[in-house]
Amino acid sequence: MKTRSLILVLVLVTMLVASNVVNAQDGTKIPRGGVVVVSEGRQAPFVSNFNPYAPDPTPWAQAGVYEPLMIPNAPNGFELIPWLATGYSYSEDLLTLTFTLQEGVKWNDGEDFNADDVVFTFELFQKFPALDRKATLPYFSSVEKVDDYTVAIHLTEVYTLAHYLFSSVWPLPEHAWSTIEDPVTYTNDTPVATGPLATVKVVNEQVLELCRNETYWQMGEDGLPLPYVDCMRQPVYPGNDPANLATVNGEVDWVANFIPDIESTFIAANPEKHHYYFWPGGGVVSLYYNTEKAPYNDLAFRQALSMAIDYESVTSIGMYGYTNPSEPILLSDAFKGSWNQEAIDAAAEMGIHEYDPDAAEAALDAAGYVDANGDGWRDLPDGSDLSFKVQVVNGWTDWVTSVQIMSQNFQDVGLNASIDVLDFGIWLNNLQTGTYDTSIGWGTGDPTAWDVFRNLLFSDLIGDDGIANAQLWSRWTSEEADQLLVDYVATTDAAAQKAAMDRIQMIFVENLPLIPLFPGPTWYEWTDYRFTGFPTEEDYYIQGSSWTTNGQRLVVLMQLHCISEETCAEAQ
Amino acid sequence: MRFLVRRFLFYLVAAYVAITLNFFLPRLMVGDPVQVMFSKFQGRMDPRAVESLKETFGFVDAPVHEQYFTYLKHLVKGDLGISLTNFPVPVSEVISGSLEWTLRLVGIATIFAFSIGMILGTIAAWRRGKFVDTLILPIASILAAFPYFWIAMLALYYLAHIQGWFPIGHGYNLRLKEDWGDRAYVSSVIEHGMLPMLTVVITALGGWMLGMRNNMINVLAEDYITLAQAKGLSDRRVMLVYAARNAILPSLTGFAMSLGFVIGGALIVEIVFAYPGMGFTLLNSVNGRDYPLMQGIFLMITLSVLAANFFADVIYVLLDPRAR
Repeated sequence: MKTRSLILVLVLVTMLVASNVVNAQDGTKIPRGGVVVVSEGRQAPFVSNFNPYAPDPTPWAQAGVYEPLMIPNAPNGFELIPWLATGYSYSEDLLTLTFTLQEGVKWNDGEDFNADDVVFTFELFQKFPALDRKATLPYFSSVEKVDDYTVAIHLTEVYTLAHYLFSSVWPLPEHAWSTIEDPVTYTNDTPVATGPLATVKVVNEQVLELCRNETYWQMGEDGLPLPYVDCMRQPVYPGNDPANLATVNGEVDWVANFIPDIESTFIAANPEKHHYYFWPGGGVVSLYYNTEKAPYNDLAFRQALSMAIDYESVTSIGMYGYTNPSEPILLSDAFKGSWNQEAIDAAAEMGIHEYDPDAAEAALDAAGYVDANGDGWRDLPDGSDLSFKVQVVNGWTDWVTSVQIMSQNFQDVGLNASIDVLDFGIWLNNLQTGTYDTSIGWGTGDPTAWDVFRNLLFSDLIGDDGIANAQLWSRWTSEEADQLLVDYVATTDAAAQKAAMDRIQMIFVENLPLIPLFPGPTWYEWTDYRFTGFPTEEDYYIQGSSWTTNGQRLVVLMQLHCISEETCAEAQ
Repeated sequence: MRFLVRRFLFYLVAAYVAITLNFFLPRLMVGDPVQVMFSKFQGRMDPRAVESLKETFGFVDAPVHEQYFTYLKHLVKGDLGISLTNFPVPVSEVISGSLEWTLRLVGIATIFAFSIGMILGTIAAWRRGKFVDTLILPIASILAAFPYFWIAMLALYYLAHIQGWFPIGHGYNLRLKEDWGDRAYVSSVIEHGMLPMLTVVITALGGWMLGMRNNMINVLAEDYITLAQAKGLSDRRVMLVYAARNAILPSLTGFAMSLGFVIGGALIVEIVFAYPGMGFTLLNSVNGRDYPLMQGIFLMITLSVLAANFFADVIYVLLDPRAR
C-alpha cells in the first residue's frame, strides 16, 4: 500500500513536471486561473447595465467588457498605447485624423471587429447625442471607412490633440447594436464585446464578477489568449470602513481605497505582502479665488496669500503625507516633460509659492492692506473691512483639514479668514456662478498639459449665462493665454507647442490666477498573497489604480497572474 | 365595522398627502443629478461631457407641475420610473435586489425582538424583583441605550475579526452561486445573517421589554386581575389571557409602525456589516439626487407604514372589544 501510493505520487509529480517542461518557453510557466478580488472603496450596489455609454454604467463595463482604441499611459506622460487601434495620423491640412485598427480582433460572439464598427459608433453619437459621453460631436463632421482596418475622422476644425479624444472611445459592435431601437436606454445585459472580461458571471446588489473572454485577441507568453486570470470579483462595500477591514484582512488583491494612516493599519498588518503607492500625478488641487472681486483682483494680494500658505503642513497633516506640495506651475509629475524650469525659477525669485509669513506680511503692508480700524485684522487699502471665507465641501475630510490649516495661516498674517463648509451642490454652484471669495478645488489631471491650462484659463469656458465651466472658477483670463491655447492645438510642430506651453506657464506664474497646492493622489494598494504583476513604485509601468476611466487598468490586467498553481487554487 | 371603514378612508387621504409630499420634498434639496454625477468623478470627467448627461436626463427639466402629473399617472400604473444614478435601469429593478435581504434580516429581527421583548417583559412584571426583572431587564435597557453602530462595530471587530466566529461582511459567501436549492448557499446566508441579526435583536429588545413590563404593572393593579385570581384561575391563565392581552395593546401600534419601517432597511447594519439592503440604496439615491429612486423607496415605506397601521387597527379591534 505504502509503495503503491508513493509510486502514484511519483507518477503525478513526473506528469506535472513534464507538462511544465512542455509548456515552458523561457524556463518559467505563468500559472493561469484564479479570481482577482478588487475593491474601489465605497461602492453603490451593482445593477446590470453594460451599456458603456450609460451615464454611470456597471463598473468595468467601460474598460473591461469594452475597450478603447488607445490607452494613455499616465506615468509615461500620457503617451498613447496602441489597443484596438494600432496608431493614428493626421492629414496634411490637419483636418482628417486617421486610425489604423488592430486586425484579428473578434467580438465575443465570433464576429470580426473592423472599421464598420468604429464608423457605426461615431455615427451613433450623431444620431443619439445623449450617447456622446466623451463630447466628440463638436469636433467631427463625418467618419469614413477607408478600408476594413482604417477609419478617417473628418474634423470640424484643426485640433491636434483630437487623437486623445477620439481614441478614448469604446467601439460598439455594429451587428449587435444596429437593430437596437433606443441605445440610450439599452442596458445591454449580455454584452457583445471585445474586452478581456466580456463574460458577465454575476451582477447583483452585493457583487460583480466578470470572467475572461475565451477568444481575447491578445496572447500571453504561453501563446494562449490573455488574461491569465479567470475572473475579476468586486464586492460591494457600503462604506470605507468595511472595505478597509476586508483589505487589512488580506481578502482583497487589488485595491483603490482611501485608507487613513496607512502605514500603521494596512502595512503593519503584513509588511511583506501589503503594498501601496500613491502616485502624485493627479490633477493639482488648488486654492481658487474670485479675481472679479476685490481684493482678489489685486496681484499683490494674491501673491501675499501664496506666501502665507504652509504647503508642507497642508500635505503632511491635511493629506496625511500622501502627496507633496505641487510646483508653482500647476503641472503634476505626470507632465514633468512639459515643465518650464524658467517659470519655476521665476516663481522662486518672486518668493511666491513658498511658505514665508514674514514676506507675506511685508507684501500686504506694502500693498496697503493694513489694520485701519484697529480691530486686529487687516483691512482693504481704502480702509473698509476685509474678511473672507474659504469654501470646502462637507465630508471631504482631507480637504476640510487642509482648508483649516490654510485659514489659520491667513489669520497668522493678520487676515480675517474663516472656513465655510458647504454641501457639494452649493459649493459647486458658488464656484460656477462666481459667488464666493476663495475656495479649495480640484484641477484637471489628464490627458495633456494643454488640457490642464485650457480648463483653468480659456475664456470661452465662461458661458453667455456667466457660468464658469470646467475649472475657470477664478475667472482670470487673458487674450495672450487664449491665443497660446488656440495656437497650441493648431499645429503638430513640437517646438512651437513647447514654446507656447512654456509661455503659458510663465503667464501663470506672473499672474497667479490660482494657487496650486498639491497633486491629487490616486489611491492604489495591492497585496501579493495570491497574485503578482501589479505596477510597483519601482516599476510603475502604468497607473496602478483600478479606479480609472481611461482604460489603464486593462494594461495591468494583461500582466496579472497567480504567483503559483497553489495560489491560483486558493484564489477562487 | 364602521370604525374600520373610517380608518380606511383616513389612511387613503394620508396616502395621497404622503405621495404628494414624496414628490415635492426631494426636489427642495440643493443640487441636481447631473451635478452630483459629475462630482463623483472629482474632475476626472471631461467637463464637456456634461452636455451629453443633460441630454440624457432631459426629462428632469420639465416644469414641476408636468412632472407631478406624469408621476401620478405612472404611479397609478404601478410604474416607479427610471433610476437616474443607474440610468436606464427601472427603479423597481434597482430595489428588487436589496428588498429581499432587508425583508429577511430586518423583518425577522423585528419580529424576534418584539416577541422576545413581550415575553420577557411579561415575566419581568409578573415576577417583579426576580431574575428577569433585576438582571436581564437592566442589561437589555443598557444595551438599548448604547448607540447601535458602536455595539455593531464592537461585535464585528471582536467576534468576526479577532475571534473569526462569523464572516466579516455581505449576505452570503460571494464565492458561491445564488441558488436556494444549494445547501451550502443557504447555510452561508444563515451564517452571514447571524451577527447582524443578533446585534439588531439585542439592541431593540430593551425598549420592547421595558414598555411591556410597565404596561403589565399598570394592568396588574386593575380590579379584574384580583377578581381573576380570586376566582382561582391558574397563574398562567391570569398572566397571559387577562393581563398580557390587555397590556400588549399599546405596544402593538409601535410594533406595526416598526414593521412598516422594515422596508426602509437598517442603514447602519448595512454599512457596518456590508450587508445588502434598502437603507444603503436609499442613502445612495439621496446622495445622487436620484428623484425617481428616492420617490420609489419613500413611497414603499409610506405605504407599508400605513398598511401596517391599518393592520394594527384590525388586530386592535379583535383584541379589544371596546374598539368595536
